Amino acid sequence: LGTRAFQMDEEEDLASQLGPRTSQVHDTDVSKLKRAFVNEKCAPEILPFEFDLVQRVVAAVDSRESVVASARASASTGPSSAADDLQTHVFQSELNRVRFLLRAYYRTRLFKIENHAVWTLKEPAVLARLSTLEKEYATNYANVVEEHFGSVLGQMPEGYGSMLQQIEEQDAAWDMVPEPNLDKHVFCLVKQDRGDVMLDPDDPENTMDLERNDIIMIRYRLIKTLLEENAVDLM
Amino acid sequence: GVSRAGPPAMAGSVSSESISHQEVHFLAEDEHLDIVPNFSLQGLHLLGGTYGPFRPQMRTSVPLWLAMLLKKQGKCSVVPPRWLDAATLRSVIEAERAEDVFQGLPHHYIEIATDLCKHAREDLEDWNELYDLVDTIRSVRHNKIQAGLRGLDENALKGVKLNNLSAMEVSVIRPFMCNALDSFLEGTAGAE
Repeated sequence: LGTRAFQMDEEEDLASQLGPRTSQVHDTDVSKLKRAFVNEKCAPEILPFEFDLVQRVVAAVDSRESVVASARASASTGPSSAADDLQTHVFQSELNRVRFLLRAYYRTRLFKIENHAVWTLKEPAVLARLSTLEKEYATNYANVVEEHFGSVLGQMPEGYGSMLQQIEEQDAAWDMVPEPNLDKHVFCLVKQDRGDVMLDPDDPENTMDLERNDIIMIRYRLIKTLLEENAVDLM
Repeated sequence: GVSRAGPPAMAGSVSSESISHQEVHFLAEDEHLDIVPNFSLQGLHLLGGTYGPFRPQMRTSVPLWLAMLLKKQGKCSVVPPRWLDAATLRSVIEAERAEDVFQGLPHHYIEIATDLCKHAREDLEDWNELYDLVDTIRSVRHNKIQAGLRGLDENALKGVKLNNLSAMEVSVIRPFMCNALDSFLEGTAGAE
């Protein structure tokens, strides 16, 4: 009993020496954008566009860019203190980081739109997740690709000229439309205690105990709802 | 090891289907640690938070990217995090070897240790030793992960808990693990 108590003290001491999992702050717009980017990067399907968040971050970036630009302008025409120069340098470095996040967020989404352009356009629930510009992009992209393929497919035998249908039949559904694979495996971090959760409706007996900070590797389809509820983040 | 600081080159991140090691390192750069400045500056109101004011010899907390920026300009010394110490790291190695579970290391321990051992060597007691110890931890944990993967069966398709895996470790095993299980899933679907 004495040895076990000592061991437990050691374990507790080690845990406190190691400290918390993360020291990052989670409620700023920049950290929310970061999470939006990571979720978007890891999810096989396109997620709802974070319109309000992006609008706020873009406004903050634009405003800060003006500050940096005028600081640089006055530094080049007159004396500037070392402190001012340092501040400008730090502002600029942070701007580079935030602009990277914005670009990465947009480009990850565009990549998914390109891969599944036709499917995105024909599924209203998915189309609704796109920004106005992205909807335009999806439409233009699908048209350009169709035109491009048309020149080749036009030379295929009768009935095989479609990019979207295995065999062209009247009123047949498109069966060759690329769509995201929701059964792709992803890693996710649990953000809320949820207790025993039924994840797979095809296997309702099988529940998983979900506790905050659990890391789970699982099919995207099984945690899709939890992601929508903001109970998990992808990683 | 991964040691790139600052935003990753765009070319590497656009066409890849999942998050790259460089991107994981970029995310790690928002982890906070303490520095001791040798300069004075009013509070910095950044988009991601307010830091400082900075006064000589007055310890203050900043994100890793800012600590490295200031360090490279010779404007501060870095206070090593409590866990980045030889005795603690040795205890971690012992615990990792003794138990099946993973120790609760900081989520970005590899990236933080890499950056400090690269850019803040003089602020560490023996950076070589620390780097070796962190690498040993990484290696022991990696072997544990591999052993765990070999033991997976079709139950893994219901989900696998991998608590306390760090960001970089997830990044390293992701391609293999996800591809293996995706293929396994496809295989079982075919068999039905």
